[in-house]
Order: sequence, then structure tokens, then C-alpha cells
Amino acid sequence: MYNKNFIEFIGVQKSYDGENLVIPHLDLCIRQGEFLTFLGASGSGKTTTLMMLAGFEIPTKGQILMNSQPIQDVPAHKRGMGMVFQNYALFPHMTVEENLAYPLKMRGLNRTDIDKKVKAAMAKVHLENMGKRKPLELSGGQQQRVALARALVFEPELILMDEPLGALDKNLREHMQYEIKQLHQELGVTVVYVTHDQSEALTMSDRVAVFNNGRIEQIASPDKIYDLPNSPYIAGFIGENNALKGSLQKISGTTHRVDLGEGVSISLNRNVDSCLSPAADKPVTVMIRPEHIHLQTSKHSDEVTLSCTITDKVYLGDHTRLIGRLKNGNTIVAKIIDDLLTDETLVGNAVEFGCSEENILLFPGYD
Amino acid sequence: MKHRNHVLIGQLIHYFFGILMVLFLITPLIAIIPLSFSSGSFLSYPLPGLSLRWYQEVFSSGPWLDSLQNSIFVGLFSTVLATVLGTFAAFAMARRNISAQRSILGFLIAPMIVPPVITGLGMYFLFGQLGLTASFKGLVIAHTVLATPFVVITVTANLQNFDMKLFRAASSLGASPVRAFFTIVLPLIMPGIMSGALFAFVTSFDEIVVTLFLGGPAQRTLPRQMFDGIRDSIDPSIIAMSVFLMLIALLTLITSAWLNQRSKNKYMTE
Ligand SMILES: Nc1ncnc2c1ncn2[C@@H]1O[C@H](COP(=O)(O)OP(=O)(O)OP(=O)(O)O)[C@@H](O)[C@H]1O
Ligand SMILES: [Mg+2]
Repeated sequence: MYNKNFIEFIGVQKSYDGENLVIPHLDLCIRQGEFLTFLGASGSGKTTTLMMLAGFEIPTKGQILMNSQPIQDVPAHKRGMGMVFQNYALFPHMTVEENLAYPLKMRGLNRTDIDKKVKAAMAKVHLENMGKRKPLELSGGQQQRVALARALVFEPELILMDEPLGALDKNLREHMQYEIKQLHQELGVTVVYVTHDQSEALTMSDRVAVFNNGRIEQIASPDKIYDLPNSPYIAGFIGENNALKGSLQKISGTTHRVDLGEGVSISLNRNVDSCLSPAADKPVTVMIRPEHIHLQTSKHSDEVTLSCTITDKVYLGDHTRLIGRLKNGNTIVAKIIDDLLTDETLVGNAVEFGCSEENILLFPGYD
Repeated sequence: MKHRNHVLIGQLIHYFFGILMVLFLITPLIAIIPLSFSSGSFLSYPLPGLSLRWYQEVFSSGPWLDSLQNSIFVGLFSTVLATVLGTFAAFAMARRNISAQRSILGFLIAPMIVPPVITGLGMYFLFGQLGLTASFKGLVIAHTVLATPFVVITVTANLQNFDMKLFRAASSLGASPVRAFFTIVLPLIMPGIMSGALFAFVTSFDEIVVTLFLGGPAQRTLPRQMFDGIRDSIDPSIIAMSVFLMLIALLTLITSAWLNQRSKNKYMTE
């Protein structure tokens, strides 16, 4: 029903100074109606990409299409995209109402329509009684809502938000995340959202695009990104991961062994990616999430065992973090639910960590 | 105890030099004010008596009033021109990172730095070719050139507090660059523009050197009239006019300080 290729970036490249490529090569499709988040470390090119979409920066190379039409030559004010800026960018000399009426005035609507729409927008973000105030007379959260309402009031098809919640405290941020998500579902509008907060990205988005050095490392739904990261970078960036360096050997058929050095190894009885199945030794990075590790009491056939010495134990309320050291010196972090701890899980004691084979991720090379 | 004494002495010296400096700057000005109320016609103390006759003379029709009118006329026109040109120039430089920005700024404020005699001489030859000497048109253009740098500087300073994101926000909401300028930028930098305009007006109002080169008998401005007055017959009417000009300068300064304060308090986001 929706256009799958609402927005397309085709081979887009961007350099500010003509030398350094901030965006070396970007291909991206944005689906109509989706909530897409750009997630990435500082300086990874999220804002740059958003600004090119908004029309404030020009791609050095490549094309951006909207509904299959190139939009390079459409100036920002004719693109009709709603935008929410990090520090809100409300007009300080205008009241809340005037701020909201601004885009409607620019579109030449008449007074009665403007009043009606402004009222409706204020109701949508729960600011009914604030119309006559100036932005500086509002709290951060209220200013944020005005900015949101102003970007929605002219009913754009696409809304761009660059770290809109960055300046709010944690509680308010979570509340606003919920409200933005609600508005997205209610209005069916397409949202492109920039953040470097991964939990925000995971909770709000239909899809997440993870940026790294100006490239999209992976673009997928939050659960895919979390469970099936396609690179050690993603595995390490999203959530927590234990990364172990080893070399992969094929024993026979589907039996593989990963040698982690100094006599530590894990054996896997499953298929591995074709790019990983060599005849000889192959360097691999093994990734295991702390929450996938449990205390092994009796060994199941599809489990691997890691024998450690407990070096630290941190109580965190709903769970306990156990930090263990393998014989080869690597540390392993495990998240264990409190009920499962025994009298024997003490610092200094030996422990058997277990993990089911399907939760062990292998990546070629060392990150 | 000892430390406190040091601080105290430091403070005293501080005040002493501060007051000395102020006296040094304004004593000559204050010294002449009483002369304008003299009832005699010589510039000397003690005053023979007090009267307002020189003010009457200056503000009754005659060469003084004509030259005041000329000054206001030239001042207003060149202020409007300088303000418009200076504001646009400052905005252009603030909006884009023009790489040659510094050299352009240098050119724009050159008339403020180059000695007026040189500017005057240059304009005299150039305007002579163009037939603009001894005309109001020429004088207004010349004063505009001299006054624009003041507008560029004050507006540039004001634009440094202006968040360019607001301009982008306006664009994203559908405002063309021209509309965004008039609806968002202009209202927010208005205090800066106003104080730039005040400076521009004062520059033109006080200007003498270039006027001497370019002005004909019909373009006798107030400073020109005073200049001639000093040469020909020196009487307290010139002092009365000077006091009037001081009053205007004082008002201008106060207004501009007030505008600055207002722009700082009102729209400072973080
Ligand atoms: N106007 C500019 N001129 C020159 N370089 C720029 C400009 N804006 C950004 N850059 C550079 O481009 C790179 C990407 O910046 P960008 O702002 O897109 O990162 P980001 O992912 O939004 O980071 P953050 O999370 O810190 O906002 C950075 O190395 C930055 O220094
Ligand atoms: Mg950014």
C-alpha cells in the first residue's frame, strides 16, 4: 500500500572541503510511513545525511529522489518537510501561536483555517493554554512540544528530527519518546530520526540505520540489528558484547572448533557462514552477549562451556554481573538472574559459563 | 591585614585614574557650556551675564538654521542608504562562509580607517568626472560611503548572537530566503540595525572634511557652517550650536546603549 521507495539516496557522496569525504558512498531507501532512525557515533555523518535530505546541504555526488523525482534542484523551502532541530529553533520574538501559524502563513492559508489548525496542533501536543506565551517562557519539554507541533501543523509527508530529545532529562525524554511514537502511529507520517542513544533507536524505530564513518553499516529492524548484527562493529555498538579473538578450524562436516589460544577452545556443531568455512585456520571474532550466558549446571549437547575464575561480582538489583577470566586471560561478562546464583558463585571460585550455540556469533577477522 | 591594604590601595589607584581619565576627556566640553549662556559677545570668562540670546540667534531663521536643515536632510538620506546596504552586507557575510570574507570586510570598513582627507580628495576627483560635486546627490553618496562601515560593524556584532538555525527553521517551514529574512532575521537584529543607523547618522552629521571637498554653497552643512564661523567671526552662537550637538550626541549614545542592552536581555537563547 505504501511506496517502498519514497526517498532514495543513490550513490550519494558528500565532502565539505573538497578533500575529506564525510560521506564516501551512501545508498538508502526510505519507505513511506516508516519510522527510520539514524544511529551512530558522533561525527559519523547522521546530521550531514539529514541536511542533504532537508536541502540545507548539497551532495557532492549522487542523487536524492523523492517519489522517484530528483530533488537536488528543489530549494529547502519548497521541499515541504517538517523539521525538528536539536535546540528547537523556535522563533523567540513570536508567541507559541505565532510560531505554529508561521508555516501556514507561508502557505497563504486564511485566518480561520490557520486558527483552526493551530488549535488542533496545540491540542495534539497538550499545550492548549500556552498559545500566548513566548518560547523563552516555556520549559524545555514544552519548547520541545512546540517545535514538534510546528513541524506537524502543515501536515508534511516527511518529518526530520535531529536529536530532538538530546537536551531533556531522562524521564522527560522517555515520556517524549512515547508521545512522538504515538503521533507517528496516529498520523501515519514518515519520520527520519537522528540519535546517538541506542535505546532510543531500538524502542522507537521500525528500522534502524547504523552509521559508521559516513557509511551505513547495517539497516534493519531493531530486533534484527540486536540479534543478527552483520559486523563486529554493530555487535559491539548495539548493546553489550564479549568479543574474543580466535581461529576457526573445520573438523568434519558441520563440526567446527574455535581455538581461543592457550588451550582454550569452543566447539560448534553447526553450519557457519560460507565466508567463514575455510579448510585451514581462519582468524575470527567470537561475540557472545552477557545475557546469553548462564551458569552451567549440567551440560546440554548444543551448548558450549567456558571455564572461568570469577574475578568480580556486581549486584545490580534485578540481575548480577559476574566477571570471569578464561585460562587464556580474556575476560567474560555474564548477566545472571539473582535466583540462579548459588553459594559457590563467589569471587575467586571457578565457574562454568554456558551458552547455547545459536547465540554465538562469528565474524571474519579481528575488529 | 597587609593584603587588605594592598587591595584597598589598588582600588584607590583604580578610581583615581578612572576619574582623571574622565575629567581629561570631558573637561574641555564642560568648560565651554557656560559660554553659550553668556550675554556678551566674547568667548571669555567671567561671563558678563546670563542669557539665551545665542540660542535664539542660532534657532531663528538664518544661516545656522539652513545649515541645520541641510545636515538633517543629508544625514537622513545617507543613514537610510547606509543602513540598508550595511545590513545586507553584514547578513551576507554572516550567512555563508565566504572564504574571502576577511578581505571583503576590510574593503567595506576601509572608509572608516582611511584618512578623510584622502577619501575626500579621491571623491573630489571622481565626483568631478561624474558631475556630482556641489550637489546633494554627491554629498549623500559620499556620506553613505563613510557611514556604511558603522552599520556593517554593529550589525555583524549583532548577527553573532543570531542563531542561523532559525533561518533554516524558517526555510523548512516554507519561507523563501527573502521572507525568512524579513520575518525572522530582521525583527531579531533590529536593535543592532537601529544602533548602526544612529552611528551612521552621527557620522554624517559630524562630517566636515569630505563636505569641504564636495559641498557647494547650497550644501552648507552644520559642521561646515561652524568651520566657517570659526574662521570669520567667532561669537558664542557657535558654542550654542555645539552644546546642542553635544546634547544630540549624548542622546544617541544613550539610545544605542539602551538598544544594545535590550537586544541582549530579550532574545538571548543559550
Ligand atoms: N559544516 C561543516 N563543515 C565542515 N565539516 C563538517 C561540517 N558539518 C559536519 N562536518 C564534519 O562532517 C563529519 C560528520 O558530521 P555530522 O554532523 O554529520 O555527524 P553526526 O553523525 O551528526 O555527529 P553528532 O552525533 O556529533 O551530531 C564530522 O567529521 C564533521 O566534523
Ligand atoms: Mg549531528
